[in-house]
Parts: sequence; structure tokens; C-alpha cells
Amino acid sequence: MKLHVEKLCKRFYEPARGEFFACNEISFEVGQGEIFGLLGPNGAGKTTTLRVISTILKPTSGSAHLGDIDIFQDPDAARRAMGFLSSSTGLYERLTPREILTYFGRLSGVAEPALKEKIESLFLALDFKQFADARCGKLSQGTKQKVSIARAIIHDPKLMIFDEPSTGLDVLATQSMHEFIKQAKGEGKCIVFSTHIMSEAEKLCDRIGIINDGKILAQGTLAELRALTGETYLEEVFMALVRKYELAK
Amino acid sequence: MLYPALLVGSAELVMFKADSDRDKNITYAVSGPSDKGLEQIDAILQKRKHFKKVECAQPEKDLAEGKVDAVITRKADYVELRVNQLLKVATLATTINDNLKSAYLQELTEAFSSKGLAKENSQGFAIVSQNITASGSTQKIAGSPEGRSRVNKLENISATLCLMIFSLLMLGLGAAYPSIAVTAEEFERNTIETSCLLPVSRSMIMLGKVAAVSTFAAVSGLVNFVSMYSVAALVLSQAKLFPRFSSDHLVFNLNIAQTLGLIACYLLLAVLISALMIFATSFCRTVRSAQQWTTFPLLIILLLPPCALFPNLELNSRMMWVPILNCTLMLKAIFSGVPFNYTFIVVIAVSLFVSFVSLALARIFLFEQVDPGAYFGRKADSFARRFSKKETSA
Repeated sequence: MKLHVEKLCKRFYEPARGEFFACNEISFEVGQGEIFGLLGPNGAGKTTTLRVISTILKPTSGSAHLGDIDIFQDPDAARRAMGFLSSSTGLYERLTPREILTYFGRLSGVAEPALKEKIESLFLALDFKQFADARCGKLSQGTKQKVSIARAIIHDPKLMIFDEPSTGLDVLATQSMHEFIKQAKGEGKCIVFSTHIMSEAEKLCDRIGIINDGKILAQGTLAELRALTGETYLEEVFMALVRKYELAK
Repeated sequence: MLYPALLVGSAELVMFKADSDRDKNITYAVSGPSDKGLEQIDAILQKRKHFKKVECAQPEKDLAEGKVDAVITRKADYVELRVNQLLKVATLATTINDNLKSAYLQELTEAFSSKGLAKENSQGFAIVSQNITASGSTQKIAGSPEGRSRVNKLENISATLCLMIFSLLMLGLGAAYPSIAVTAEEFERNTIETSCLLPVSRSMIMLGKVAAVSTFAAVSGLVNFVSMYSVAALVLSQAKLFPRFSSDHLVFNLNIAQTLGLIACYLLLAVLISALMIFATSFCRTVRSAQQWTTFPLLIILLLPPCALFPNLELNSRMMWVPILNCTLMLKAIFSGVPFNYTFIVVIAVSLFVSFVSLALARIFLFEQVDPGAYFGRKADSFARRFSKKETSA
């Protein structure tokens, strides 16, 4: 299954700024078993782009397809085929991980006998079985993130969207997050990943889109970006592209 | 603290209603040849502020047409008081009887005695009601003070209704906090995103939210009603402590039709108030701002139902369009024995329509994450831009 995003725009209004585009004609493609990274500074439009693709926000214009599914025309079908993970875990604090996974699994249409097995296997795979019946409000940030991951993959999605997933995590938790993303890639999932950490993008992404001011300035493999800018390190590549854009503006 | 306050409040309203009926001017006419005895009675009645004498050429006809409330006639061995059935006959009869029998009974007795009337006759005012038929003929339905029918229940305030309406305050509060939890708190805890990512339609999510809030509101209101009813029933069972409560003006029962009406109105109000509260909090992004935004709507919502207890405020073709108040007036009508009519249908339709519109707007603010300030700001900006362009081109 392939994700195809075409000229995606999202316009907002703020009294101080007036109307502005948080993402402006964003286009990219992500293939099966590929990690596409959106790399940009804070406020560049990464989160808005991912939120629009995941149907949390409605686009102002543009289209997005996941295989045969038109994401904006058939959002329910699209949501059934995607999992979204952000740095904010968004867990109901009074529920236990088991209750959360059961709730989301049922609503995502996972059959009841298979759901129990799936939940148990996720507890083991992500190593938090001992916290399965503790309230989420009592869990550490790392464990909450594990519950969040389990919730995002409970329905075995074909597309995984990660919005700065390692923000606020310690080194160990970040490492296991990276392992999880690589594992998802190995399973042939289509992965979109946003970050502002250059090393993370360099380590994980097959292709990178440099985003700034709501626009994708350049996209390609790391080698292609290096060739385009003539710089060696990703940080320098990024700065060269941003400078070029600012000058052109 | 709330229960005693509400109990006192409802007692005051009952008394207010009773006093309001008592203090109405009762017009009366004297029929037939006057004698000294009648003149004396006339003089006594005129001392009372709510008795007003009117001159009638044809007292019986005027009584039948409702131009006069009562007619006093000298009979052979007693004085007859005839009152109009179309008016609040039972209250009038009770009022007149009570007045004549209590405060100035002694004065009357002396007056009658001095005019040569027997003492027992001084108490023998025959309260006669006229049941006026379409043909204009009259029919006696009661004969003497001893035999008069009890005060008509429909004229009185039901204590059950009072408690029921006061328990709506708890229904409002029961809707306010869960509605904040399903809207603003979802944003504050960032759980709204995960709800939006579920493969179910936004309308279904809204339906789930309003069902949850309505259930909570209805249950908290009903539990409150049951507890207030129990406390009040226990207190009022000791009626000796509250002599005015033991009067016929207080009805304290609940039949099957009223119970069904109560549950139906409760559910309708629970859905309506929940929808309004969800709308009021849908554009808030923090619990604190939601608490601020709900204060004013909650105040209105909590003040409207008790208004239904005001005397003479009834469900009619105008009041049926006022949301919330119309539901409580419908409840009052059910308790007064008003049969099911078109106003009930309008009340249900208006309540459901307002709920639907509130939820539709809440859905936009919640899931499209529309900031009303930004939305109207953008409209104002574009209008200003268009206006300035026109000015420039001119």
C-alpha cells in the first residue's frame, strides 16, 4: 500500500497574523516498507501536515490516497488502515492499558477473540505486561508511550504516522522507539515520520523532505540531498536549503 | 444546605399561590329584597379587602355569565351564597366559608342574633355552586358547608412537581461537569486526537458524548429527586408541625401517568441541557475556560425551570416555543391533568431541534477545531478588506 499526497494545503487564521498557510502545496509519496521523514524546525508545518493526512484536520485543498482509498473522501476507511503516534500520549488516565487497548481495538473493528490474543502479544512485545492493569495516570512517560504505541498498532495498520514520537523520552525509551519503527518498516508498513532532530532523521529515514514555512523545500534520499546542496552533513544540508529559500523569498 | 432551602422555597411558593388566590377580589351581589340581616352581612363583607360589592340588575344572569363571582340571597331561614363554577369555585367557597366561620364568626353571630335570627343559622351559609351548561341552565352541585366538595386538586400546586422542578437544578449541574470532561478536558489531556483517529464517524462520537452526558445528568437529577422526595415525605408526614402544609392546597402524590410524564420530561430535558452544555464548552480548549464559559448558560438553565412554578404561567401557544421552560411547563401541565395536546408535540419538537442544532455546532467546534474567535475574525477581516477595496476604487 502506497501513500500519495498531492498539493496539500491547510489555511489558518490568527488575529495577529491574519490568514496563513500552515502547509502549502505539500506533495510526496511513501512506498511500502519505506520511512519518509519530514524534517523541519518548530512551526514549519510538520504536525499540521501529519494531522491533515491522518484526518484529524480537514485540508483547505489537495488530495491524499492510501492505496485505493481516498483519505479525505472516505476518512473512516482511511482511519481503519492507519495508526498515528505523537509525543503526547493522549491516554485516558483513569483507564488501564488493557481497557484502553480493548476500547480502541473494539472500535477499530478487531474481532473479540483475536483482540484478546493481540493485546496479550502486544504486552509481551512491548514489555509492559506488569502494568497491564495499572491506571495510565500512574505510569511513567516511557510506559505511557509504549501503551500509546500498542494503541496505534492494535488494528495492524498499513500506514504508520509518527509525529515527533521521541520528544520527552529518555535515551532508552528513544532507542526502543527507534527499534519499533524499524520493526514496522520490516513488516512492510508505510511510515511517515516527522522530527526536528537531524540525527534521528539521518538514522531512520529512507527519504527525507525538508520542510520550512509550510513548504517542502526539497526531498530525496540523504545522498540526493547532499548532491543537491553540495553539503556533507544533514544539518548543513538543511541550513543551505533554508538560506536559499529565505533569499528567494 | 440545598434541601432545606428548597423545601422552604417550595413551601413559600405554595403559600404564595394560595395567598394569590385568596387575595383576588371577589365580586358579589345581593339578590332579592333586602332586610336588616342582609345589610349587616353586607357590611361585614365590605370590611374584608377582597370582597367587592357590585350592583346587578339581574344577579342570577350576571352570575351565570361570570360578571359577578357570588350572589347572596335571603332565603326563608338561611342565607344562600351562590358562586360561579367557571371561576375558582372551590377556592372561593373555601375562602368565604373560612372567613365567615372564623375571624368574624362572633361578630356575625351577634349580628344575626340581634336581628332575630337563630344562632345555628348564622353558620348555615349554603355554598352552592353552579355548573353552567351550554344551554345556560344551572345545576346545583353542592348544598351546604358540610357537604361541599373538597378543594379541587387541579387548582393546587403539587409538592411533587415542586421537588421535581427543583431537582432539575441537579440535572443541570449533572450535565455541566461531564460536558466539560467530554470537550475541553479532552483537549487539555490531548485525548481528542485519539478519538478523532478512531474509524467511526464524528456524528457517532458526538452521539456517544451526548448519550454519556445525558445519562449522567438524568441519573443525578432523578437520584436527587428521589432523595428530596423521601426527605420531604418524611418531614411532611409529621404535618402537625406544619399546619399550613396540612391544608388541602398541598398535593403530595405521584400516579402512574405523572411518573411516566416525569421520566419522559426528565429524559427530554437531560438530552436538551446536555446538548446545550456540550455546545457551550465545545470551543473551550482548557477546563478552566470551559468552567468560565459554562457559568452564564448554566445560570440561565438553572433559573428557567423554577419559573414554571409561578402562578398563572401555563403551557400555551407562546410558551411552548421557549426551550427548557416549555419542558417544565409541560411537566406542570401533566401534573395538572391537562390531556395530551398539540403543545406537547411542539415542546418535544422544539427541544429535539435545539438539541440537534447545538450538537451540530458543537461538532464543528470540536472536530473541525474551529476557533469561533478566529472564524468571526476572519470574516470581519475579509469584510474590512472588501470595504476598503470598494473605497479605494471609488
